[in-house]
Amino acid sequence: MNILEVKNLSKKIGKFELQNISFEVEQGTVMGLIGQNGAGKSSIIRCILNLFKKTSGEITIFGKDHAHFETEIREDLGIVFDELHVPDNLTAIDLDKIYQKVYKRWDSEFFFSLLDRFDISKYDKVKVMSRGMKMKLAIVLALSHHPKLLLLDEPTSGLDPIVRDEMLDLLLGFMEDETHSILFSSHITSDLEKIADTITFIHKGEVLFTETKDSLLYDYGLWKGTKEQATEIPTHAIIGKRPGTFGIELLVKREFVSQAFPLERPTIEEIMVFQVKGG
Amino acid sequence: MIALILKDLYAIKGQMKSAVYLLLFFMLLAFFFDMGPVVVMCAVLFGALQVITSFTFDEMSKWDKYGLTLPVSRRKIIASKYALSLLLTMGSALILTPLVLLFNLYFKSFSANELFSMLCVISAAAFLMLSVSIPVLLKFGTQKGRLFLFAVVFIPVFFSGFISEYMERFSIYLPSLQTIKLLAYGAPFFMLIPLALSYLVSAKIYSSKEF
Repeated sequence: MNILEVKNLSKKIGKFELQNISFEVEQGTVMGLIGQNGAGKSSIIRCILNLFKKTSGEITIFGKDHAHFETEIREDLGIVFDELHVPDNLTAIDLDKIYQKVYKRWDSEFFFSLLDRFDISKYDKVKVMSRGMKMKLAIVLALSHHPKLLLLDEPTSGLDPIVRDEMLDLLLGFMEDETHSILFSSHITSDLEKIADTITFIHKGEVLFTETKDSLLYDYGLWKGTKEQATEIPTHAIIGKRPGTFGIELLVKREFVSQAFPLERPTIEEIMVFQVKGG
Repeated sequence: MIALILKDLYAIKGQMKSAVYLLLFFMLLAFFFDMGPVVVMCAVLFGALQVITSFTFDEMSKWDKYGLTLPVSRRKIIASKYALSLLLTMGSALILTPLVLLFNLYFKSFSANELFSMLCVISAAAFLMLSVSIPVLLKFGTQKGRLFLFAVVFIPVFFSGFISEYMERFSIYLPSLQTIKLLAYGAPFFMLIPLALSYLVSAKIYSSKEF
């Protein structure tokens, strides 16, 4: 069952354009949205949230049109942007009082237990919190009404590895319920490698591919050798190349390359770089 | 909608603290220099200005982008700002009027009727200011909007000089004091009409805004 469906989404934003974006997020899975800065990841999330009005296309969340049923749908959505967008003078206690009146299923007990678990002060104003603390508060806010779908827009960018790890732990905890799903946009691909089931790669406002993480990591191979040796690899197997001082690196489709060529397992980051720069 | 009003009240509570100190100072002035009605007028205008401050806080934190991901419609977000306007202007007047009247029991320098008519006029002025400023702030943001607001305040002041000059030249006279008083009492209720129209304009602006 698809929790989120985006079909032929197009949106013009100044000179930039999202073109025919299509993908689905299945219930119980985590989809990573990757791409360079400015590729269109945040714009897609804003279109899904109806913060940007789409030019054309269809978006459904929980099987309902995202614009017509927006307030109803949002009861089951948890959103985290790259910053905590709440007025600086507010404390976690203030936010709890506000959210009790916003969400039908707001769980104050759960909220304060998460604050304790992640060492977030209840009494500090947002303006005195560190960036890491603010982002932890953002994710705790997004989880405390027990949403079914989390939309995360670059939530880990600019955070230190410890805080990123804590955030990923929270997300893994959220995914223990099989009815939960996450759409996670990030250019920090190592985070997605830890939690994503499928990856959608956005480049210049278009979807380059949607694949499961396992097939990405196992179907692709990284070959390193001299330029002469590289001529022996079939051209249709080559996805991208990166010439260096001492030779060349190739990203290849394993199925088209003989086992005589030793292949390393690429990271998602390497796949992304080869796709963008080494075509 | 209560949640959104609560959010704004929490956001401006720091400002409210300074407002309380300022009003205490004004209360002292009121007591020692017998300026009760001025204090109430200041409080009403200060309340109205807090609504504009709440827009600044929203803009600084990019709240709208986040607020619109909550299960609250765009219309309710706008309605909450207008409800906050009424709450702050009327609330300030309701809190301070009894205190000023209490002082006046000692000074006996103005009648309750006088204070009430002044209160009505200043509330009407506050409503008119908010009716213009809220859609402007929504459309242009607080930076550009402020410039516009200066114009909103100064243009009528500038023209009031002209109007009084022309009224004398063309022998146009003001209505009787009795009629002016009646008009003053009715002013806040008349000003609810531009406030309601302003809400419709703001809701229209906000519905097509992208964040």
